[in-house]
Amino acid sequence: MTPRHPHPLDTAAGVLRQVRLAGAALALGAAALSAQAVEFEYSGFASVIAGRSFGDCVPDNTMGAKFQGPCTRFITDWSHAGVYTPSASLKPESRLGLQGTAHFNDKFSGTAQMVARSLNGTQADLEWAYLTYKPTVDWSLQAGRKRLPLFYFSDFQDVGYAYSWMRPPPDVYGWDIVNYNGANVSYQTLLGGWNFKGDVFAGQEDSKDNLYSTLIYSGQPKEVSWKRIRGAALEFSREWFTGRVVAIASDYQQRDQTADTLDTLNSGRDTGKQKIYGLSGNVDADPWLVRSELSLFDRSDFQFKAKAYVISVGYRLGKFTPMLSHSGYRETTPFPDTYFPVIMRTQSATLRYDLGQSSAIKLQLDRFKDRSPTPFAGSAHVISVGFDTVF
Amino acid sequence: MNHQPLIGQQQDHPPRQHRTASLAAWVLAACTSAWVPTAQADVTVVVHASNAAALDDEAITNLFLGQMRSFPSGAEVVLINQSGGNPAAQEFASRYLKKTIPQLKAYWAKRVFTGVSRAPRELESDEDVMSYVAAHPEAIGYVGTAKLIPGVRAVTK
Repeated sequence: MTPRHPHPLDTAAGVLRQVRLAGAALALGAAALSAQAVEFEYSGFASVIAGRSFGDCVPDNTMGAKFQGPCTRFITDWSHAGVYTPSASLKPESRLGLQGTAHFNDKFSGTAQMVARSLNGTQADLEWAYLTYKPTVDWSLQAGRKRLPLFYFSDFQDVGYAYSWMRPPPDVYGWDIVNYNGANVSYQTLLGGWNFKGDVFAGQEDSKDNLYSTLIYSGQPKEVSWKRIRGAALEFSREWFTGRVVAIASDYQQRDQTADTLDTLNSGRDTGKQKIYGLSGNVDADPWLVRSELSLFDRSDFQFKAKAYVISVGYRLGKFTPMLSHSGYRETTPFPDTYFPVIMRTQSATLRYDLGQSSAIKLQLDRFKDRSPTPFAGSAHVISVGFDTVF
Repeated sequence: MNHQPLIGQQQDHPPRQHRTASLAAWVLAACTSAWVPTAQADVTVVVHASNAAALDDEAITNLFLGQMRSFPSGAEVVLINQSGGNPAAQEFASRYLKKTIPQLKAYWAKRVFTGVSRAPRELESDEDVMSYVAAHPEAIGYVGTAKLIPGVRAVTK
């Protein structure tokens, strides 16, 4: 066993390696089709968000050591360990994304998306890098690095302009894995007035220096792996309604990077199995809008099952969209002596104002209640203001 | 900033108002501006002169939301939008897509950044749209004028 100390350069080099791989794949594609004109397309998005937590001081919590200090805390981005504290900060959520697509011909293209988060300093992560092959207008095959579509908003959770909340509700959105390497096949069709989009996907993800784990563990970097990911999603929409169902299964491992050993899960195994199911229904019957989602996580090898939900109702008044949300997350366990379940609930009020044609400003107030028998982050109130744009 | 024509209704108020009254008027105008049709001008959907497709309103909606991606003939569609500030763009989005320009931008942002489809090409004027459509048999666009140039055909009245 060689103790391994993670170095910042490890991740930077990893990103560079990924960029080079994506570059090589694109170059290969380009070379294969060099006889044809390659058409490039660029776009981007940005969100600048400032926020802080406030309310009664909650000294007791069971978060990782890094998050122990402040009086109140609010986990606004579980996946990237973005946490608001009583000191106002732009860091936990602000981000800039750039996407480029090279269209080699009608059927074949390559896409890469980099996202720089103020949490990561100057480092930008390659979040998406995939090749698309469209044999017909309805079918598409994609291979490379993509977002894992756990939830309805997963695919565009970074694009703040595309939704009315400040952020997709953290009670639902936020697990240890965000992206995966693999492939997916999707099919879209119009049938009886409904637009259907079906997706099947498979792949895996190894996340070194996992950020989510830093919320829980103190000073022990973890590598989280979701192996043998396979899943299917179906989206169906007509005029004012969009629904989605998803089912995903994968194996799960957590490696202690310091000891270079696999952690033993609560079940006694070192490789667990997990199943994830989701159901989402969205209404856009102008001026009303409704967002709802239910997500079930079966992590029996951790001795828990989790249920998360959100329901939001908004009403558009010209350029203003006020919206109220209620979300929650509840773990249940058959082993209350060895597993401390997390139970949380949030009520939010959001006001969005559309600024021109491609920007918006938002204000959001959250009342977060930590109802866990042993508090995890502790209850808090949160205020945040943000600016979202696409270009 | 997108100044929609009807915001100008504020000017109908007497010039010397109490400050809160003008603020109220501004909020009211901001709130109601998107409810009222923003342009009386009609909008005509145009295709290449050689494109014989018969398209009803539902087909036009499905095409411009990227849910129908080919003409009934099987040819893949190239969508041409106008800049969101143009009255024709606002009228088209409200009448056929039942969306405001920001809602439409958000809709396409989702599709573009998730790799579902390309964003429609956006052109500046009726003239630009017509010359593009006249030169591209697979294109479909819309214009705020009834005076079409040779080479394009109206699919709506």
